[in-house]
Amino acid sequence: MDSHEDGAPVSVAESLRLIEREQAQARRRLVPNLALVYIMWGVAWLVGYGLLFLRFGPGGQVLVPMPAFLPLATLGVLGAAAVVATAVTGCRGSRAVAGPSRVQGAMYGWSWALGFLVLMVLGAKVTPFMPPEYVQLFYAAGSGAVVGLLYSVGGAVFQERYLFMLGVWIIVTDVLGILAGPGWHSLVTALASGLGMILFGLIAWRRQRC
Amino acid sequence: MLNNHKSPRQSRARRSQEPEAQAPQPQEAVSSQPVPSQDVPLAELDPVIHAQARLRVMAVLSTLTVGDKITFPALKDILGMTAGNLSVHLRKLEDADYIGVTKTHQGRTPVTFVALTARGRLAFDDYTASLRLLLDSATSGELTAHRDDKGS
Repeated sequence: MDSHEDGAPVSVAESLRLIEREQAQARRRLVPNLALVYIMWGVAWLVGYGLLFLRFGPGGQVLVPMPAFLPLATLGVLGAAAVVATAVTGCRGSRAVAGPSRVQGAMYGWSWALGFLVLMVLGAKVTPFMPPEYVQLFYAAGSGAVVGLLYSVGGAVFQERYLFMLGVWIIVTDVLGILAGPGWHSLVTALASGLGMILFGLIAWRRQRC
Repeated sequence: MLNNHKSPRQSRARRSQEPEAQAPQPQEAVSSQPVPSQDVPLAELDPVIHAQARLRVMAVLSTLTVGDKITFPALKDILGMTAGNLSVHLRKLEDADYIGVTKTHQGRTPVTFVALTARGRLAFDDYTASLRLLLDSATSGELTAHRDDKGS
């Protein structure tokens, strides 16, 4: 039998190390590691909006010839994978804990669904009256607004400064993309928002590892 | 240079429960100096928490948000302890009113939840604060001793 199992740690320094080790271990197990999720969303936006820009460029230009369905199909597939990863990661760990933080997480999760519900319903009503390039801008810019707002709100609720900054970054680049117009918005979203999320994911990954 | 005050909290904790720690604990080891290293043997700390297994339990529970509770199996997995062993330590912590254990049902499955009580959170914060204080005083004691050596 290990004499340490029930005995006292032999020193102050050892006790403090033990506490820190256990707390870090507990956080790793209970706090979902969303780093991979952010990286997946970043890649989806970088590749998906990148293809949209190349196929439906500013002024209707085709910069790189490819089937018209390919950019949106790619964005859809990569986005669906990211949605699944988000749901799986978000729910894992929360089963082990009950109480206010689970309620908080569930409310936050539902806010995402509600945000996109509004966007879809509004889109169905108003986009039939828009030229095709503005339909694409409507959904892309609307998604950017929902994502950016919920990231910044998430930063406030969970006291994650980096998440708040990511939300602000996505909203700012979204606004700049809208002002630049259809086509350009895809480029701005791919490079600024997509790469921004990948960078944020890498930072989150490093912080989890430390 | 003497540092032999005792906080009332530490004395109360000592009265309330027999110390279980079997590690050699020279009396007043902390108060006398010079101290040879940072690894000072511990005396006078809350004996309910100051057993490695229960300290680990308290450390894990302390990471939960106030009001949250963790399921028994999840706590067992994080700690890597057997159910029997964990139950024994949880009972001791519950007797000291440091943790609350609630049994409920999720559907048909019975679930046991564990959480720190307000008193337990306070005791754990006090315990870690005492550790830091001891470590600081040991370090400054070491420096003072070093300076004295040079001076003579």
